[in-house]
Order: sequence, then C-alpha cells, then structure tokens
Amino acid sequence: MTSMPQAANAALESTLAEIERTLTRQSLHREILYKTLAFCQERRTMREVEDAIASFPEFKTATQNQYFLMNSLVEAGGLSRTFVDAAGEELDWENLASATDEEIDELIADELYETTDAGRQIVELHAPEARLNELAAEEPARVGAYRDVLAFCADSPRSYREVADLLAGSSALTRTSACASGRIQPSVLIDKLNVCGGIIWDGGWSTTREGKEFIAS
Amino acid sequence: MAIDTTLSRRTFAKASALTAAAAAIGVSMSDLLVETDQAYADSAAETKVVKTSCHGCIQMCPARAYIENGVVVKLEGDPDAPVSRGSLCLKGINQIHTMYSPRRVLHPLKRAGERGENKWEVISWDEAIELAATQITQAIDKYGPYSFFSSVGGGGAYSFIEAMTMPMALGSPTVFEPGCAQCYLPRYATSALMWGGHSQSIADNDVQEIFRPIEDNKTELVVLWGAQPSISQTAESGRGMAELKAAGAKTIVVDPCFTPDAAKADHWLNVRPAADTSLLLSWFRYIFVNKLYDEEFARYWTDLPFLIDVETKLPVEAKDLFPDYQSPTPANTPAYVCVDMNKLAGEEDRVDKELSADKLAAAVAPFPYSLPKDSPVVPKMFATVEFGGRKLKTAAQIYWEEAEPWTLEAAEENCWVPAARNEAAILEYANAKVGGIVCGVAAEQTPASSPVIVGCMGLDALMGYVNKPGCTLTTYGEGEKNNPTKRPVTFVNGFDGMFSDMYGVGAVIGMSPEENEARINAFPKEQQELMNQIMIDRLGSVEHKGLTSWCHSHIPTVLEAIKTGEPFKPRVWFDMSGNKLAMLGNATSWYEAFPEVDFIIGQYPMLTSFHIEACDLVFPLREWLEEPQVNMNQLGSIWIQNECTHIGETVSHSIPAAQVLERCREKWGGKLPGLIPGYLGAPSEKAVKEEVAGKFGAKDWDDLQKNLDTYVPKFIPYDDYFKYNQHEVIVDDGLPAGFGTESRKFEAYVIQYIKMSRTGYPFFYPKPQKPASADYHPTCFFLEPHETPLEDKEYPFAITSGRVPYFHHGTMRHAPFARELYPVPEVKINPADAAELGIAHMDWVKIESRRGEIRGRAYLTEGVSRKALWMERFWNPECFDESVPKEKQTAGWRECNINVLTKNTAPFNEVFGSYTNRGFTVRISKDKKPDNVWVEPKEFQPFMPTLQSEPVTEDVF
Repeated sequence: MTSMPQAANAALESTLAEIERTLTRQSLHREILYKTLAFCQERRTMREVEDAIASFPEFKTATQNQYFLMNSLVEAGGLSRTFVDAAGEELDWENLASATDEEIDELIADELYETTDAGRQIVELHAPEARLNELAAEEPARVGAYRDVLAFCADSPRSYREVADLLAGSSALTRTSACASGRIQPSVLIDKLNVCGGIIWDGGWSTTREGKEFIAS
Repeated sequence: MAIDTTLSRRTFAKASALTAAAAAIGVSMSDLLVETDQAYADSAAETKVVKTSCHGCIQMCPARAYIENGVVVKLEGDPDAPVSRGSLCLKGINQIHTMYSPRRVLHPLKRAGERGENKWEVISWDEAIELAATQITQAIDKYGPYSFFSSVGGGGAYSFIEAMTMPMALGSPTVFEPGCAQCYLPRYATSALMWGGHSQSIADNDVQEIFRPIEDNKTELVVLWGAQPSISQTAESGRGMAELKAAGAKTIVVDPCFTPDAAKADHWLNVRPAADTSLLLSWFRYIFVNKLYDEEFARYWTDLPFLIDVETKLPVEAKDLFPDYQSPTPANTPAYVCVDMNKLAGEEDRVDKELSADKLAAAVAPFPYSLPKDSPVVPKMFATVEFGGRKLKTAAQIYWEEAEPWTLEAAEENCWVPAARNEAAILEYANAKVGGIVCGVAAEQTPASSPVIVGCMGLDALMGYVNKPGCTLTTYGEGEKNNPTKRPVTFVNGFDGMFSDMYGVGAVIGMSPEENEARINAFPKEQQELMNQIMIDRLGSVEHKGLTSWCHSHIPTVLEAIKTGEPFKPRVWFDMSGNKLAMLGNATSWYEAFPEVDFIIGQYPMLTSFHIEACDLVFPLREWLEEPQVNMNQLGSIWIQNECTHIGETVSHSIPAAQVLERCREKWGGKLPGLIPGYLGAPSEKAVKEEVAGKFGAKDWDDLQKNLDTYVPKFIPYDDYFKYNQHEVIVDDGLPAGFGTESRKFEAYVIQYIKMSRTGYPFFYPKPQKPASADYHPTCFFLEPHETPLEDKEYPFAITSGRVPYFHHGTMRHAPFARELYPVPEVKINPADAAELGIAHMDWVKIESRRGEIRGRAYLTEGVSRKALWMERFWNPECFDESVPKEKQTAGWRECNINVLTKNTAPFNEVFGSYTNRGFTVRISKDKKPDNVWVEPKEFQPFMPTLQSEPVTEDVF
C-alpha cells in the first residue's frame, strides 16, 4: 500500500512531468511558458499576465494567443487560476453549483494567476543560470566560443550573419561524430545559447542579463 | 506579429472546437468566396463531357469526366489512349468520392489547439501566407537559411520540383521525400550512370517499348522483378501487361507474394523478402557458366571486358599501360585495355577455364572504341592478369567472383526459390531473342537497392537486351538521345541535369575533363559556389552521394539533425503533400522530432493524421479533377489533366510556396537569400493554365479549351518515337554513337559508383565532396538483410509489403466505397504457419517488430512462402474522425500501418541511403479488432460525398 507521503511525491512527480511536457511540446513556446511561470511567482491578474506575455520577444512568433498559453500551464498544474468577482473575492463555487454558465460569466470580473509549488520547482530547475552552467559543463571545449558570442551580443543586437562571421573558422564548430561536412553550422551554438536563456532574439541577437552574468562569472 | 485570433479569451476553447467541427466537415464558409455560379437546383441540368486524365497513381490514364451543372458525376477511361485503351481503375473511378468528400479542406486552416488536437481556425489566404512567411523569415533571420526545409510524397504528390526548389530559393539544402531513396531515385540515377538512358521502371513510364501496339510489338519475354503492374497501375501498365501476355509473351515474376501478375506468369520465383541479391547472383552465375550471354554485345558494348586495376577498382586506360599508345578516338572517348583473344589463338573464353599468367599478360592490349566489326581486338571476358606490376582483372571476372558462390542450390538455401524453378526461369530469360527486366519499387525498399538495380540492369546488358525492338531498355522519344548526331552525354543533378545547367554544378558524363572544365568555368561563380556549398552541406551527402541526383537529403540524417540540432537544425517545415506519418519508415520515431520543429506547414486536399498531429497551418489544395496539368507520356502521346470543376478556396499545388516566397521576398526588401531562379513553380492559376496550354501548342488556355479535341492528345508518330540500335549510328566524330557514359559503353560494372563514393563525381563538381567511409560496390553483390529470419528466433517471420488496387500510397482512404471493399489491411500468411499459430482466415492478428505493433486481418494463402508475410501499408482516417467518440480517437496510422514496424536506422544502402521498409523480421499472433477501425459498410457513411452542392468558384490566385 502506498503511504501518504509517497502518494504525494508521486503526484508531484506526475505534475512536474506534465509541466515539463507542456513546456517542451512546441519549441516556439518553450521560453514563453517558462517566463510566464517565472512571472507568476507573484499572484497576477489576467491582464498583467497577458501584457507580460505580449512583451516577451519570443511571443512574436508564437502560434497561440496568451490565453491559450496560460490555460495550458493551468491544465498542466504549473499555474493556479482563481476566478474573482467585482469585489475581488474568490467565487464560492459551492454556492454556484446550480448557476448557469452565463450567470457565472456575469459574476467573473477577473482571473488571478499564480505559479504553483510544482511550477516554482520548474522555474528553479530551469533557471537560465542553471541552464548556462549545464551547457558549459556538457561542452567545455566550446565554452570559449560561447563566451565570445555572449560578449559580442552584449554590446548591441547582432544579426545571424554577424555572429556566424564571428565564429567562422572556430574550432568550436567541429563536430566529433560524422556529419555532412564534419563541421556544425554557427546556428547550433546560437540555438544552444538561446535555449539556455543566454541570448534572445528581438530583431537581432542580444545577450540577456543571465548571459552577461555568465560572462562575468 | 503575435498570432491572434478574433475569439474571446474565455470562450476560446469552446469556440475553437466549433470552428474545428466546421472546418472538418467541409463547410464552405461561402461568405469568404467569390461565387461565380448560382446553385443549379432550379435550372435544367447542363451536361458536358470533358477530356482529362486520372491522377489516382502516377501513370495518369486518359479519362473523360461527365459534368452536370458544374458537378462531376461520372468518370470513365478514354478509349483513344494507346495503352490503357479506355480502362480506368478503382482509384480513378473513386475520385468523385474524394473530390466531394465531407472531409475536404476548402480553406486555409490554422491550428486552434495543441498539435494532435483536431481543432482548426479558418483563416484567409492572406493571413495564411503572412503567417507562413513570418515564420520562415524569422527562422532564417535568427538561424540562417539552413533552418528551412521541405518535403513531399505520400501519394497524390505532384510537387517534386517545387519541394526541391523552394529550399534552393531560400538557400537551404534540406528536402526529403519518403519515396526518393525508397522509390525510383536509385533506379533513375543508376540507369543514367550505367548507360545514360532510362530505367527499368514501368510505374514511372520509363519502359514503353513493351507496350507498343500488339501488331508492332516484338517483346518475347518480360521479367517483373519486384513489380506488380496489375495492382499498382492497373489500367495502364497492368492492362498493357495483360495485352502482352494474351499475345503470347512469356513472363517471369520475382516476388515474395503470388500477385495477380504472378498468377498469369509462366514462372513465379517466390523470393524471400529482401533476399533478391542471392537470386540475382545465381542468374549471373548460371549465365556465365553456361555462356548464355550475348557475346558480341557483352564484349563490345559493355565495359565487362575492361581490365580493372584491383587496387584502384577503376578501369585502366591504354595510355597508362602503353605510354606510347596513340588513341584513335578523341579525349572524350578513352581507349581502355583488355586481354585480346587474338593473341590467345585456340583458347576458349570461358569463366571456368583458367589460362597461364604469362599467356594472359602477353595478350594485354589497348581496346579502342569502335564498332565491333572495326575493333582491332577480340576482348576476353574473364581474366586475372599481372601487367606492369599491377594486378588487373576484367570487370566480368570481378562479377564472376561475386556470383561464383551462388549456385542454384546455394541460392535456394538463402532466398527460398527452388533450384529447378529458378533454372527454368533463367533459361526462359536467357533463351529469349528479345526481352528484358522490369525492376520495380521493391528494389528500393531495402538497403539492397543499388545492388538489385545494378544487377537487373547488368543482366539485360549481359544479354544484349538493349535498344532492340521488344526490350525494356530501348531508347525512345524525341531529340538527340533517340536520334544521335553527336557523342551522347549525360547530365546529372536534377531531372535530366536541370540544376547542372542552371547553376553550373556537376560534370557532364561523356565530356572530357577539359570539356567539363571549360563548360563549368563559363558559369557565374557566385551561384555556382552557393549551389556547390548547399550540396556539400546537405544532410547525409557524404555517405550517400547518390541522393544528390535529385538534390535530396537522407531522411534518417534529417531526423537526427532535428532531434540533436547538429550539424544544423531544420526548424521550419513546408510539407507539400500526403501523410508523412503513414509513409515514413519507423514513423513513430518522428514523434520525438515534432516538438523540436518550430512551425510546420502542410498542403493537401484532406486532413491526414500528419496534418492533425503535426501541422500548424494547412493550405487547401485542388484535387486532380480541379487542377490543370499535363499527363505523363503514353507511347508518345500526351494528354491533359483538366480543370473539370473547382470548389472552395483550393489552389494548384505549386501556388502556396510561390506565394509564400513572394511574401518572404517582400519582407526581406525584395531579395531571397538563395539561388536564382530558385523556386520552379507557377505562382497563379493563370500561369498554371498558360503553361499547360503552351505544352499543347495552344495560344492560351481559352484556345486550348475551345479546341480541346484538336490539341489533345498531342502525338509523336510511332516511327519517330520508336527507333532502335541508336548506339550503332555513326555520329559526327566518325564513331558509333554508343551510350552516354565515360566509356561510351554500357557500364555494367558501374565505374561512376566508385568515383562518386570518393569525391562525389559527377554530382559534386567542380568542388568535391568528402569521401564516403567505404567505396560503393560497382557490381551486384550479396547483401543479407540486417534482420533476417535465417537467424532471428524472437521475430521469426520476414515481412514485406506492397500496394493493393484500391489505394495509391496514402490516397483514397477517405473514399467510402474503396474502403468498404478493402477496409483494413490483409496480412498474407502461409496456411501451414497459420495452423501452427492457431490463426484462421480473416482472423485479426497482431504483428510486432522491434519497433512497434499493429493489427491486420490474416489472409491465408499458399501465395507466400512459409515464414514470409505480406501486408499493405494502411492508415485509418476514421480513428481521428469527428464521428468517433473523443475517448476512442487515436492516430489512425498507428493502428494498422506497417510503418509502425519498419526500420529507419542503419545499415542503409551505401549509395542512396535507402532504409528498410521491407524484408525485416516480425512475429505474428492472433488478436482482436482495434476498437475504432471501421469494417462494416455502414460505418463508412460519414465519408459519403456531400460537397456536390458547393458553388463552383473562381481561381483564388
């Protein structure tokens, strides 16, 4: 028989896995969803969350709107959603058991979002600092090139071509396993830095705060 | 631009479900349309008969469409068509069900839920193009041109050129197709390399000679090696084969399954799935030992007597062994070296008769190119000789050494074909005056693709079944190849070397090194270098250089690149047809890749499981009753595929990519980052129609339609179309034309394979590619499947697959009558095996491989050997259908599709990278019917056509 703590742990594990799956099932949404979880570590109104998502540079190529993305995090267990009335009070669902959808819609004045405990664990687990450190540990031979790119993009936004030129001829573009040319394209390094939260695209590649901290470390 | 919908936030989920339902059932959203004709219900029926062509498979039989008030009500074959002669098969007739299916996609659809949810939002064409162009330009801006990739294939796929050239326009090397290395490319490329002529494929209309009208037809014998025309192209080559058989020609069918063609054949060789190489080598051995080959053709018109340097594996040129030798032929026609029988007076040229080394060495002589009667030497076929410190063997000797172990008995043990049956077939083949092999797609479904093709081509060359009346390998058509006036040459890179001439890449086989250098230097450098770099960086192009023939990538390497991100990550995908999940080997492995692909664009007339599970945007395409095209050639006649009607906002297949590229160009300030001209596809229906009209010699589309009977069909007279012995015609250099190869001979020993494996020549030129990890084999060679029932105890059956007459690949699965006739795949199993496993006829069974499991219904037949299974590739769209309760919905291809079982990992074919779609091991057991698969006729009611009342609409572009 499963004990209570074991059952709770299993439930948490399951929720963590579901949040992870939600974060990673569409590459264009990965960072948006992560940042939404990070943003909602303080309780936020729906408008605040929507505005925040709209401000993320990654949202420019999102394939779904903000509400869809927020909803997917709620369904995964990463965000909690609270419906409140005009007085800011949480709706009493027990008293609304017999109410129609239309009546409930009338009562709802706002929705409040807050990252759950499981969501907070994900935020911590995938913090850009941690991701960058993991990358450095996994690919020590490329750390120099990663630092060069982070430094290059720290000054001003850079085009792909500019970063590619920076890396041209670098030993970091050598691939150990067999491939078409034995070398990787510069985009591989750019992608990895982006996935780790070190650089971000907003009309050009720019180094994030975490990326700058990584160079300084 | 953030992608936004006009839906309110809170009701989003509900509303998107509603739009999904609307889109899925084909509601026209007619307020979005330009309506050109009012409904006809109140007016008298107007009926017309329009010439068109079926596109149910790639052979495109000429047909007639009966149209009442804009609605196609009946289809029949055109009796004037020279091969199909009025036949039209089930695939053609059932097109009306597909055309008016309630599951048609009539408007651009944007995903409204997660990938895998069948929820869509109808958007305008402008929004759809903007969305696609935004995703493409953003990805390329961020990660460079290699982030884009395209694909095509899966049935109903017309966009081969478009899929190849859209990445070129964007500067990307990545395009793939589930066919390609698994269908036709190896035959197409190899035949060009071996003789500069067409392949032995009848499905692709390469072989035409054997279908000449019976009164002119000299064919005595046809070997159908892994081809099943009665099923795959029933009305055309199936009909043609039936006519030929009725006229008395002999046939030999090599197939693990007793197909309808096998039932009519004189010999059926029940080869074990994917064990064709041992069978082929047994044919070579028997023909060599019994000296059944055409001695004159083999000696003078093939490279088999050439002495090959054992170390370099390349033929030795006379100037290398005889420095003072003055070749009588120009630089583009090297003189090689042979052992001259004239210097071996009294000796026989037999494979089993060895001569002394000294004697042979004294007989080594230059072998200049000429007509046989003018040759100064009589080349010996079989010899091993030391000369000038080099070990040399004739190419035929090398072939013999490959074939020598494969006695009839050894072959029987390996490939299960009884020795006596095999011998009778070989004798039938070798004793025919004229005949030839038809090599089917089975060859390319396994890693043995190149050895099987080389073997089939090599046998016909050995027998001299080339350029003669009645042979499969007989040149036909218009132009220089059929009417040679100059030394024949062969262009590579794209169909007929189209990209070679556009971008200045690729050597021309048959030109001398100096001629090639001069030609290539005349091209502008910038485009040439870009194209060369794209080729060099193409995924899989180091190991499998043969894919460069169509500029395609190696599919498993693309999958790996998406998953790992290296050496670059293809991340925005434009698929141009079909259900990739039903067609790709080990399709389940692609599930891991989808989350790594940023954006997936599809285009098709229907939603398939690929669109539902993967695509973010779907462009609606015309069905073939709506799209103007030019037919494939039937014996020198070309026919029109006509615009019989048009509903919704559907467009011809080339248009979405053209429109998206144009929008990308605008976003980038008027320039695309790739090659120029880059994309080859019409951007509007007007352009599509003008192109078609032009091919028939009409002034314009209106002229063509008004005078359809005048322009269609366009005929080349048989006397111009069919000619023979072209290689013997004396051309402008005073020599016989020969073939479009380096040696001007039929290169049964594939010299270009060796060169290609090392540098990529002739494809990679002027800049070479890195060498493959090993040289490619220049001859047929024995290759046992990686998973073999000879050793596998856990999965003891060898399975193969094939088509059925009801469907072409993934098409027609929504056609209710076709599905009623064949609702689920049948798994053919020998009754003795079935009895041991307790399986009765039509029992549901489970088939398991190391990659997954599926279900089908057992079909007990002696028509497969023991321990062999055969089944059809299948997918079940009903499993995703709105009419199925949500809790029962599954991805339909996973239920019964053999690609759950197939193998897309190494070993691959060395030249082309073909993976294992057939000839792997499985186990089979009795099971039960999957819950949501339809079997009973009434279950297909939701697929019955409903869109006949849709208004006929004008062109969108």
